[in-house]
This record gives sequence, C-alpha cells and structure tokens, in this order.
Amino acid sequence: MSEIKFLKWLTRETPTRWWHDSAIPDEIRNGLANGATGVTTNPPLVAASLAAIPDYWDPVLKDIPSNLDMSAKVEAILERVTRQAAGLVEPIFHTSGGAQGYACAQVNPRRPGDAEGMFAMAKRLHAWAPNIAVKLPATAAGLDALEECSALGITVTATVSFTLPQALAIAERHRKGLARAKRAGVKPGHCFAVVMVGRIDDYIRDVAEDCRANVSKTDIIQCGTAIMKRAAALFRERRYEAELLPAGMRGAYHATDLAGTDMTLSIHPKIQEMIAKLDGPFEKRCDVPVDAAVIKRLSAIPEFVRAYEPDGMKPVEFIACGVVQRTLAQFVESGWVPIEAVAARL
Amino acid sequence: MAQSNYLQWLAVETPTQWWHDSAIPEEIEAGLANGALGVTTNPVLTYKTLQARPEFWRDGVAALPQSLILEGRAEALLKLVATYAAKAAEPVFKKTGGRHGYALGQLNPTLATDVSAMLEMARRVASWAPNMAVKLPTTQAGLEVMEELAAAGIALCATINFSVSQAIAVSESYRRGLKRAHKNGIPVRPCFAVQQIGRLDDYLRDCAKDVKLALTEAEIAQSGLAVAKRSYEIAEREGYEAVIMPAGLRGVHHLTELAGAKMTFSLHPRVQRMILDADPKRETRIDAPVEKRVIDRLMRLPEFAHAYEPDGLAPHEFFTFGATQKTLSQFAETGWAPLEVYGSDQASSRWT
Repeated sequence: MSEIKFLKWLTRETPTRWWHDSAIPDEIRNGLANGATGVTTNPPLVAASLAAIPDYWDPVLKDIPSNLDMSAKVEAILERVTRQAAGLVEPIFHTSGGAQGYACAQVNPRRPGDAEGMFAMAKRLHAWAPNIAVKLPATAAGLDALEECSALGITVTATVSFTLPQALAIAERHRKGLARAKRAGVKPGHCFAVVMVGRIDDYIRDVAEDCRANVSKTDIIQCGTAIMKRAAALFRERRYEAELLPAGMRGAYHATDLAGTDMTLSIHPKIQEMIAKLDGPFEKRCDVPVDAAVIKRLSAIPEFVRAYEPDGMKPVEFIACGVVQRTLAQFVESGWVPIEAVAARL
Repeated sequence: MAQSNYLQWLAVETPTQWWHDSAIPEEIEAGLANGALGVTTNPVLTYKTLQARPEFWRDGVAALPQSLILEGRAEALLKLVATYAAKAAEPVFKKTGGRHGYALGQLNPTLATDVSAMLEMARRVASWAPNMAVKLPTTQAGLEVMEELAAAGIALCATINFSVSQAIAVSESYRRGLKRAHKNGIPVRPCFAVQQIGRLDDYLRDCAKDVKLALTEAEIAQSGLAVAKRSYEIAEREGYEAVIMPAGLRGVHHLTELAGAKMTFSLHPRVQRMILDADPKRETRIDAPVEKRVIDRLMRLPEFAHAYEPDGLAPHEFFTFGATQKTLSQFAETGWAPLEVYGSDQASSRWT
C-alpha cells in the first residue's frame, strides 16, 4: 500500500493517533506502515479474518484440543487471532511505554448484562499478551466490570458505545477504578472509550425515517460527529484519564471532521482506502463545532437527544437503547456464531 | 390416528389454532398432518431450509440468473420457498374460505422504516400466490403499510411485535383498513398480530440481570405470557378483528397457559415436539391470569412496563424498543444478509 497523505499528516502534525480496525495480518501490516499505533478487533472482524484467509489460520488453530467445550474453543480461537495482532503492535507498546500499541479483544457479546461473567472473561483475555486492551460493552454490567478491571490495572476498551452519556459514564467508572488501583498500589491501566459514530448515524437515519423527522442526509451523517466533538470538549474540560476512540466510520468525512485533537481514530481498511484519495491540504477540524442549525433539527428526534445530551440516558438504560441491542445482536450473529462454527470443525 | 394428541385436541376441541413455523419440506408436511392451518416463513427460516435441503431447492436456485444480486436475489429466494409453502397450505386455504391456509412472506427487514419501499414489496409478495400473507414489522412505518394492505384486501401478519401497545396499534390500523375495504366493496382478508413471547422473555432476562433486579427465571418466563394474555383481554373487550399470533415459544407453558383462546399460534417443529413429548393435560387456561404478585415484581423492570402497559410504548418507540432492534438485527444478519449472497459470486457490501 502506498503512503496515505492524510494519515501521515495526522500522525506527524496533530495530537491525533489512529488504530487499524481489522484482524487480517497483512492488512494490519499495511496499517502499521501508515502510522497505526494499535489494532481494534471485534467478533465480526475476527470471523471475517477467519473466513478471508482460512489457509493462513488452519495451521495456527489446528492444535486447539478438540475435546474443549464450545466456549473454551471459541476463546482459544480468539486468543490465537488476537495474539497475532498483539505481536505485530508490541514494539509500539514498548517504545511508547505502554501508552499505545494495544490490540483489542472483546468479551462474549451474548452476556451484556452479566458483570461477573464478563469480569472473569476479561481477566483471562488480559493474560493473553502484555498489550491487550479488553473490550467490554458500555452497559451497566459492562461498566461494573470495567471499574473492576481498572482497579486491577487492566487496560480496557469500552465498546457498544454510541452516545455521550455512555462516553461520560465510561470515563467516570474508569476514574473510580483508577483511584482504587492507586490506593492499592497497582500500576494503572489505560481506558479507551469508543463512540461508534457510523453506527449511531445509521440508527438515527432509520429512526428519523420511521418518525418522519424533518432532517436531511447531511444532518444525519453529523450525529456521531456531533456526539464525538461534544465528548472531546467535555473530556478535556473534566481532564478525564480515559481516551476517546471514535470507531465504525462510514466515510472519510468522519476522519477529517474529528482530526486534530488528543484522541485515537479506529479506521477500517475500507475507510483507509477512502482516505487515501484525499489530497490535502488538511486542517484540524475537531474543535470546529457542528452547525447549530443541524443540531437543532436533529434534536427534534428523541433518540438523538438521548444520545447527544450529557444526561440523555442513565446507565441502567444503556442496555435497552435500540442501537445497543442492534449492535450486540450483530456481534453475536455475525461474529460469535460464525466463530463457533469454525470451533465446531476443530 | 386413534387418540388425538395435544395439538390435534387444541385444533379440534378448542377455538385455538396453530400454524407451522419452518420452511423445511418434510416438516411442513408433518405439521399440516398434525393440524397446522398455515405456514410461517421468514428470511431466517428461508435461509435455513436452503442450507438444510440444498438438493431439494437446487433446481430453483440454479434457475436464478447470476445477474440477480443482493436484494433482488434475497427476494427471489424468499419467493421460491414461500410459493412452495403456499402450495402446501392451499388446501386449507380453500377449505376455510381464506380464513386460514396462508404462507407468510416477510418483507426485507432492513426496510422497517420505509413506508413506500415496504408497500411496493408487499404488493409483489401478495402477488406470488392467492394465499400469501404479507409479514411486516410493527414499527410506525409498518403500521401505515398495514392499513393500506388491509384496505386493499391483502392478508397480513404483523411481526417484530413484543408489547400490548403494539398489538393494540396493529388491531386499530387493521380496523381502519377494513373500514376502507368495506366502503370500497373489497373482500377483506385476515390480519394476524404476532406476540413474540419467548423473545421478550430473553430480552428482559438480559435487562434484569444488567440492572441487578433479582427476578427468578419462573418470573421472567411469564413476562411474554402476561403480555399476550393482556393483549387478548383487550382484543376481546374491543372486539378486534385481528387475530393474536403468539410466536417464538420457549416452553410448554407458553402454549398451555394460552390454550382455549381465539388465537393462532406459530409453532416451530422443535416446539411441536416439545409439546407432544410433554403431552400436557387437556385444559383451557386462557382465563387464568398470571399471578398479581408476579406482575408486581416484573413491573419493577421498566422494560417490562413498556411491554405490558397498554400505553407503555408510543408508536414512535416501537422501532427504538430494544427487543425490536435486537430482532430486526438478527433477521437481517442471519436471514436477509446471507440470502443476498446465497448461490451468488457477489460479495456482501455490509459493514462489520
């Protein structure tokens, strides 16, 4: 892959970093060549990697004992795929003193309400490599597990997160966990707070159509961006230790609109290709607010208000939020289930 | 058959009817032999039968041109399977004068908010066979389409439906459409209002655990049932023309506790087998309410109250309700998306 001008500018001229969003080793290498400093994966991306290069994974997976139960087999597959990603970014982990160079590994999306189950799994995932960021859903139970992990110094990435109330709750619970870690003399871990900007756009687009809201296509593709920009300002103001990780981009516009501030963009190879077409000159746009008229039109949609206002939802409402359920179901059906199918053949 | 089994007893001795919920040919045949009066299909069941019986469907799939891609391909595969099911159910359709004997043809789940696209697809689905019933989601947009279909004399089935509010909204939409049909002298066709009782239980189980509400499994397992009983009570009181269709049953009690109601169940072969194996007591239980103590405990969970109260959800909240999104996502991921690329060399264009 040739050099991507925008990413070069981003990593050299701004405080913004980016992580590569796929689990295919050659794609990760391309990402690293363009300045990626971490790797995000999720169950569908792992399943996609297994399906894309089966001959590559066969020898890697072949010694997984066939007598393990299904969940242990799935975990063993995740471990091997994740370890490869972790190995590729480990040099960055060391040179950055543990600030960057993480590979994400996600807990079972079938248990979004099970704090103990997720915490137990998180501890196992954390042990796979020195540079694992354990991905937990931003539900009430996921946040409980996140605080417990933070108290133990485990680096976490909070996912299934689309809204400002979720981003703020992640940062607050991480802060609580950090305080406990400090009191106990535990070396603190990092916390990356995902906001899935494209998925919230997709969801609000459908909601707006259903309730015949008077919004345009260009209004819709600014939902996630508006939430992110507001989150970035509040994170700065409140000096949160957690770091924002916008993800699930749908176009180069998500990257260009969020560039320039202290956060990490998760960028899928498809979006990298779109970004590669950009010529520049580039500007730091994260602090440029979304047009007030756009926010006003979007705010006629109750689901947008819940996502955009700092107190739009309480943590006990996160699991019942439509886009949370939509995404968890996708993670299960297009991620966990296909990985189980691979496990069943072992 | 010397002695009638529970399903036959239900169909013959009580006002309760049931439809068969799978698209696998031998299973449809067995279901109809046991008294099923219709056949439910959806994108997931369609994909499952293509996977389970590739040789049975091979010629039909091979006849589809490679140029038929994505949505067009998924729809053609749905048609292939739905028209087969319609043929199998046609004798019942003729015998009952069009009250039963339908095969369900479900709309593309990714169109759940698009009135005009759903209406166009619904008209195509209705044209596949004389006894097709169009299955569509109970969203605000879906409700508009339902009224139009009822007014046009097209049989319909309202799915993605978990709550009393949704059941009422479907019945009211259908009633409005019926009035228009009567006024225009158009022969009316039935409407089935699904209540996805097992899926509601599954959803509430996750919610309760997440918010640390100590509800027992026995209590959770009565939530969908409580919703269906309440919807039925209201339907009886209001004299609604739409027929309630409990679906997604998880246990024998989901059927036995509703037995005797003027409802039409959708029963998957696995559930049919579970019931035949359990051989429950022949008893009508529809009038036995879910214990008040259980309802009171469930009501502490806000998501249950949304599903249980007649005004628990406003029409614009049907789409955003968590169980709706979860189910639409499953239908899209495990049904529609694989159908779009089945037997095709076209790659999926979906985001992961």
